[in-house]
Amino acid sequence: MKRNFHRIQIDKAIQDSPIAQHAANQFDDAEIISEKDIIPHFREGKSTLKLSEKKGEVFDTCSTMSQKYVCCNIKVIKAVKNCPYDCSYCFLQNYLNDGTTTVVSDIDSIMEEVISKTDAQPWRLWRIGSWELGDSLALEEETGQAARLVEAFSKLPNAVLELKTKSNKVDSLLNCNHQGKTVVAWSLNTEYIVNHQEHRTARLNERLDAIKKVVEVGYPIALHFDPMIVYEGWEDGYTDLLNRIFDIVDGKDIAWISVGSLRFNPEMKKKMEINFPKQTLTSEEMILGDDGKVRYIKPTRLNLYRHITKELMKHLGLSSLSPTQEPQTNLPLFYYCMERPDVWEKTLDDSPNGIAHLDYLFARSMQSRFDSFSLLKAPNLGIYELFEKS
Amino acid sequence: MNRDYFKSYILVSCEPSTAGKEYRPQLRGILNSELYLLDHNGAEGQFHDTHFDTHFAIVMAWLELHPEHRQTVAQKTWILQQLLPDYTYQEVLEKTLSILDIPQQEPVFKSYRDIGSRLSQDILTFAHEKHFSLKQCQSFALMEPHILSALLEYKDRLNLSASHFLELSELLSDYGRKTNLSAQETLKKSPLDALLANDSLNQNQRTDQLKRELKLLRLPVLSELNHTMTSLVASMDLPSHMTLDWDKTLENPGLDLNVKINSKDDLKSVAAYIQQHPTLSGMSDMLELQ
Repeated sequence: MKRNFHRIQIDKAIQDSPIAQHAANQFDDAEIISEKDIIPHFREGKSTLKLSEKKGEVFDTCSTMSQKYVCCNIKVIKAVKNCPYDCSYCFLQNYLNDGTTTVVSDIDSIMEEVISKTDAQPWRLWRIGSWELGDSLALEEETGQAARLVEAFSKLPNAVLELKTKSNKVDSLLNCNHQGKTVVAWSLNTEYIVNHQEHRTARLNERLDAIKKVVEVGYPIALHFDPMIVYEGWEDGYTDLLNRIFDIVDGKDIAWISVGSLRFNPEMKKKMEINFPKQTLTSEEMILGDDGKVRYIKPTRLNLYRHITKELMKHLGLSSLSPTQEPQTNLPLFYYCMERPDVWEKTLDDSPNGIAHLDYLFARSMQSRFDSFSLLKAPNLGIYELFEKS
Repeated sequence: MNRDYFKSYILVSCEPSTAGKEYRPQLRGILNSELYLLDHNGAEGQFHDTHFDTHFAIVMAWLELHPEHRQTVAQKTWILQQLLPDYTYQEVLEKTLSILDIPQQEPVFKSYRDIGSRLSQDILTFAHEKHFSLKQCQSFALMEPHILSALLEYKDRLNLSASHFLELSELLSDYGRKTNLSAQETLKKSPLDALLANDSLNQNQRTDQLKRELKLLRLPVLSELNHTMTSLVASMDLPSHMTLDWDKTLENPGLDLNVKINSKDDLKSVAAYIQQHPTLSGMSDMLELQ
């Protein structure tokens, strides 16, 4: 049996699917099941891998949407649920009713739903992530799901798939015919945070090696410095992180960069303290934000953001990171995840006017910077805003 | 809470249940202050041999002893704790919960068990005296026990309502995680020790000041910024019909200026006042701080 899985279950309904076959070939003790078996605790669920059929709709909007904070309006497909990793700040500890690690295995059904959405609004560029309730690549060796999604998205004219990961499981992607329609994204943090808070994930050097591999075969990448975390020496930690990243990548390879700081629901605070008794993340100066999430006080967040944006500008050779400026080859679309407009303005001197505006800026950036989208009609802000209102 | 809650003689008689197979005790009376179950002839300890449902009888006895009010969560927890060593989880789930007016659902039962296993007898007794709800008890059960116990030592000095108790516990917990100090050590630190010993303050004043001091320790930057904002407002020397407020979390930028205007003269004076140097520069400084 591979890794930490004690049980592998395959839904009878999808036992002939390529992903189920992929798993069955590796695990000779895989069980074919038809009944619904729930594992209430998220940690216990990490030891059972279930390949399931698609049930109901999997297409949704990222659940962090909030009116008082600027959000990027990315769409998500709930293709995986739970994760073999064990990050101390992971929201899944307080989210899943059924903790079973689940991979939706009928790609055709997923894509049918995706295409019905993307075809309905051909004027827009859809960014679609597969990481809503898990890691896009952590289970790739067991299932090969991501590679199949990459192939499927390569045929869509107005959609880009984002695979977001803390893993280094990219080998299955290297020979895919991706057509530049997939952005492989890493959630990155300082070596100290990776080693102390992101348990069982790929170490930082492993993630950096994986980044190098996908860049070499032409994938655009994305970098997510989220959650930025305060600890003694964090400034040096993030400086070192960016030095190491920009030793191996160039601004033109990066589709987008997001930054965010540690935040969680109030109920999760105790869960984190019980599940990870040694962590001290929850004892920093924090307040309850207007979106109901506990986050660092604004002065702390501004310190974090000013530091990382300064470092990013230095490495990218830019005087501004604002996403509202005209696209440039070396300017990845920069955005904050779940931040207030005044925080954008204090650190970037500018802020998108709202969710639709930021969504439009993504499309404009991708269309002008990447050949894979250069044939798309130029995005129209008015239409993005109109649809946002409706 | 201790076994005193249950001390009583109860007299029971054995009656066949409607099913005809099991026997259930019928409560005949409470004789005095020790817990024994007697059969209808007054013989102690016969219930086991005569198939009395002692489990049921204990609960019934307790309910009989306390008819004056609905049982608290702490009391129910205690009863369940007493039963669980002798009865299976399933028996208690099926038989006792409904008698105690607890929904027969496993998650609810688990909550009571968690409360029972995490809260000390002292805390349970306090929770009973204060009539803490299930949700409140659940929150206390998530706290480190030493923090609750440390605070409980000051129960005569502080107003430990559920919300104050929880807030103080949270503050002590967060500060302790950051500093590695136990709650007891924190409460003995200056100026908290002096505050807790200050007899010129009443319970509520001591509680409010303790919370304020702990927040200062827990949120030093935010407290300092708010203190500066308060000083700036004071320096403006606002007239009594004008107040200036702001979001104390400093998340929402901006100031709320509240003015009561009764006449045109008031209007003129307000306009003039706002344009005065100390007011304008003070407000401008406050906006900078946000």
